[in-house]
Amino acid sequence: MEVIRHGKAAGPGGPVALQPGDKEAFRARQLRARDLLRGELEGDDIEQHVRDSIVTTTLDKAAHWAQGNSIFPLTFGLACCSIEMISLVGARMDMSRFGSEAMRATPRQADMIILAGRVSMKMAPVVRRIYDQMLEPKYAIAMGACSSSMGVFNNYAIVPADKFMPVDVHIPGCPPRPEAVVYGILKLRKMIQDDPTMAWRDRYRAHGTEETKPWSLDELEERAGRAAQLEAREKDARA
Amino acid sequence: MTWNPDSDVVEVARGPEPGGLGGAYRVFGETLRGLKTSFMRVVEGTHTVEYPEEKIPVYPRWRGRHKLHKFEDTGLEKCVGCSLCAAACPADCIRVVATENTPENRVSGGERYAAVYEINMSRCIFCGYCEIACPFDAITMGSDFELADYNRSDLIFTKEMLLAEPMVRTPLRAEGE
Repeated sequence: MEVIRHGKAAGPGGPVALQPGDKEAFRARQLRARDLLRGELEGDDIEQHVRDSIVTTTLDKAAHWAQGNSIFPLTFGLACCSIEMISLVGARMDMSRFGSEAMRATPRQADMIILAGRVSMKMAPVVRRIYDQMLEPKYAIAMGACSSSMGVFNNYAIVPADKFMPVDVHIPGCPPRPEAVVYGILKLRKMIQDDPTMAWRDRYRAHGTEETKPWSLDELEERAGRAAQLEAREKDARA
Repeated sequence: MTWNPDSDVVEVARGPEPGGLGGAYRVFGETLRGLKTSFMRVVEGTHTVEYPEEKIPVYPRWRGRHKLHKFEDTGLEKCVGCSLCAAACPADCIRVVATENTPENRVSGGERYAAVYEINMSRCIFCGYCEIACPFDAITMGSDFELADYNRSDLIFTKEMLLAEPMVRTPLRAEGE
């Protein structure tokens, strides 16, 4: 059995010889990797390291593929549209064919919220809170005329969904038939897999506002200080 | 059997002895009877419609995406910009701006034509009142329901979009089907 070593594939003239610069380039890569592991890699070097490691982009693609194929919806029905939403998990329009396997009953386990029905002014803060409790990456679908643009309820009590939260897909209809909702979910899947930059963080330029666990006590104190500063500034602005 | 107070013998009715074939039947019989219903559904086959590949044909009276029409012989638009559809619309989703036809620029069959005809699909509730209100059958409801989009402003359909022959994406149910 012939063993072909990586980088020395047998060409027509036997194994390919190493080029003069190859050794140095390899050594540079090696040093970058070492520095990365030590946590000392900074600036241009880290950019170069990311560019070198093709694995990251491929991994990203794989992650988006997986995300798009496992969009778990939240069990959240607001009004009459939710009856059509319920039929999505039935035998006829089996949503688990697209990886939306089960409706999760808690926002912390859901990836997507389907706003099925009219959102009233009184319900809007509740919906917003539920949306905020969902873990990233999160998506929202406004199903039906009411939640995407108030529909027939052109009055003071109803509010369109994208006035208070980012909505990714709007599905027209009153109510949309289950196929139309499945079409919307497929559209959302297409967005996640083909163009992840259309997710809400990129659309609203909201990078850097992620809520993460503080790594140290210092960081926690710094954050608290920043919050206090912001609060003081707001108070000044109001005064 | 009546109870005789003078007798020393008391007869007791006992339940079936545990174990054995009879016991097994008594334990699993009811379960199997229930499972019979489940297995009969298995024989029936699946009810799932493989939606994006296979679509349920809609009924002729199904109200989907709107269509605007032209006269087939002259190619003029049927809509004369009377705004009756906009008046009938309960969701206020139709906007019509009418302009006079001129001999040089004749667009519709009547005196006026709709310079702007927009339907906000995200507001529309597909009630079909516009179709009923229209005196010239210029607007009808089509069969398409796949209208979902990423942006609300993309859901405002203009006159050109409504006049263009729509892509037939939804099968229509045949007569008597």
